Amino acid sequence: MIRGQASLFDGIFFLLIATSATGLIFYFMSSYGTSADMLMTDAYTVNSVQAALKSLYWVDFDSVAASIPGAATGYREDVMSCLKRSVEAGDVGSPSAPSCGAYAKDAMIESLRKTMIIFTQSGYDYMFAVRKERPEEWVTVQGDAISSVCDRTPRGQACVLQGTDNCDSVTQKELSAKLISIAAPFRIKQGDEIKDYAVFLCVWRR
Amino acid sequence: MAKRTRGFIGPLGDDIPSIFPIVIGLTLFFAGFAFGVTRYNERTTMLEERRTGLSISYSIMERGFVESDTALHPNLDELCQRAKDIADKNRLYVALSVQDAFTYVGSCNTPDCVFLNTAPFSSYGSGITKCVSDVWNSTFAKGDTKLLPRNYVSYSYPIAIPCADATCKTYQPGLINIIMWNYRPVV
Repeated sequence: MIRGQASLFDGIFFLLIATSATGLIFYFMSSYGTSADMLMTDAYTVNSVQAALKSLYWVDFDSVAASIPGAATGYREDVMSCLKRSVEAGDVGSPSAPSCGAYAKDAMIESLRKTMIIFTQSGYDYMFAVRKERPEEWVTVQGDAISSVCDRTPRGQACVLQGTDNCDSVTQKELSAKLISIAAPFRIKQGDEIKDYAVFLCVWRR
Repeated sequence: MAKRTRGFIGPLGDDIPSIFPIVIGLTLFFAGFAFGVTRYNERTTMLEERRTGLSISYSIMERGFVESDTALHPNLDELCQRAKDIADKNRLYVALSVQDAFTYVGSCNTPDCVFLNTAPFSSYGSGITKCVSDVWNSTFAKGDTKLLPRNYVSYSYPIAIPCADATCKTYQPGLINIIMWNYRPVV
């Protein structure tokens, strides 16, 4: 055996170790922070949906009334109050609801179109629904559901989400396998009875 | 004697062939290591900025609306102070602005847009000291982010903002933007 071959083998063996070590560094770096990044993205999404729902309690009906055909101004109520009046009368969007309640559905659509713009521009869809508690029963929305899906549906075509649908329908209709849902409770006094309700805002990736 | 030295080209010459893979191996390893350290630092900084951004957003989104001042403009003073306190602890610059849902309405000269950490930003221009507000106003507000550091973090949240029009008396739908970046000078 030529003596140089032994030291050459040592060098090649060292190269092999160095290549493996470098490969490990690359492997570690490709996954470093990925799960933390995903967690923070989820936290941001949940926080944004909460913020959107919270803002609806402050948005003045008059600020969106101009976009609603036939709606008057001067009610001096926030859109959530309008929604409560509508729910009190039966369905969301019931024309017989008092005050701005008759325009509650349109007001909600207009408000959400503006507040949820960061979601719709990022490839997310959303849906808004109301549920009566004890016994649990979803409140019907007249016509199409309050959702960005229906907002995108061309006129004359039926929306895939109807007024009888709710956040559970998103997975049932296979629009998405994973959705984030935020709820906020509210109460309505009807006569001597106090009824508990909750509004739901759910988002999912298109 | 001649048989025993066959193939032997001297103590140094004998090792020359092995020097090449060793040099290549060392170069490869240190280059990979340097790359790894750089990426690690970048990622760690980015994650830290995002974590701080979330902390700031939890604090300023507490109520879901922006108060108005006497002229019915958005008054971000209190929110800015909260954001600044958190950002300072994490050595970050932070700027806040509000906008209605579709249009950017902030400007450096109006209360719609409030800027924080107005420390000198001397890396812009030759000897010209610019504050963060100038950077924001001239770049980010116009959609041009090239003067900002590569790893700035920006969050937008829905929030109720004071009405811009007289028919509405309280709040309208809007957005609040939080943008953060590191103290490192911009290249």
